[in-house]
Amino acid sequence: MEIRPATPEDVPDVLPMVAKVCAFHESLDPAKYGFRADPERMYDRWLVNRSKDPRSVFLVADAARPGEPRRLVAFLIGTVEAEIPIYRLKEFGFIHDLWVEEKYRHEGIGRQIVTLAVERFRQIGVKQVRLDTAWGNEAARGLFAACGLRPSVVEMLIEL
Amino acid sequence: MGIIVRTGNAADMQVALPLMLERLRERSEIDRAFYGLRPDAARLFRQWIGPVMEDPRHALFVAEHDGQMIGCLAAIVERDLPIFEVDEYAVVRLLWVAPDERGRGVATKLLERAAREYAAMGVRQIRATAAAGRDVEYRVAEKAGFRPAGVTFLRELDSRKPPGNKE
Repeated sequence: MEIRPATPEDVPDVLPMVAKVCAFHESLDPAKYGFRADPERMYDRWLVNRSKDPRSVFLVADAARPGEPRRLVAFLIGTVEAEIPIYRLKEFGFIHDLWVEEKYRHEGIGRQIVTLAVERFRQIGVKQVRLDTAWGNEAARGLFAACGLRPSVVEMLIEL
Repeated sequence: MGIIVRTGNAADMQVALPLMLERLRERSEIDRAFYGLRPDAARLFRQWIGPVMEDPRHALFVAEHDGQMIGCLAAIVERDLPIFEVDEYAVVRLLWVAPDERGRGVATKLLERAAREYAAMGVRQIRATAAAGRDVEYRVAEKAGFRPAGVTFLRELDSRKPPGNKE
């Protein structure tokens, strides 16, 4: 399994995984993650741009054997975000999405890709990495805790 | 006389500002990595919040007892990414209650008032944050009808440490 930075050519193969991330989150919390139709279409150009942006972290896991065409089974997308100016921390790395195809789970791919993303953010020069998890996504919380992240803030929501 | 909760005005903002700053400092003590303040945070916060509160949907609510402000809540309306059906929601930016008034339901009343006002404006959701591990903060929000929706995780990076090592 090769984990590497994504290229613009990878994006068409990443988009079906984006659709799965969206559907999964919507199943957990439709009020917070209710998507418009085909949300992955809106990611297309954004992901292509992220793959060319040296301050974004866009990684894919490719299960193809040498000589085979690419077979992407996981991706992670992160960007550098600015904090509001009252805080000591000026900017931080933010992991927006992570997906590992179901057949490839429990093989350590999630942990490897997060560890690599953290290292990429360190090289970019940010002092902190953050990400949001849905309240019901206990597997993700376990994974991120195993990767050295800690819970810092709980988001509370009321529907009106 | 009991506790009165009402929509704040420009004069209230002058009273509320130092109280909000006190709350920012409290949060900074709870989690320095997330909320650590710059030394000039007070000046920057005043600069930031003034223009922000000019938007009519960005609101200040105050709780008073015997004419004294004992709590305040500042909320703004934020837009979400266009991929979501709920494309805007209100966010509670700051909620402060005087230390000797805590545990009397003041924060819950402020949140309930904000929910009523934003519902009347047609806003479909309010989001607020509680520091992880601070059960009192969740309980206050839960009493006002909020539910947990997500958890933000963070990791501080030390550029001197080699790759792969946990902080």
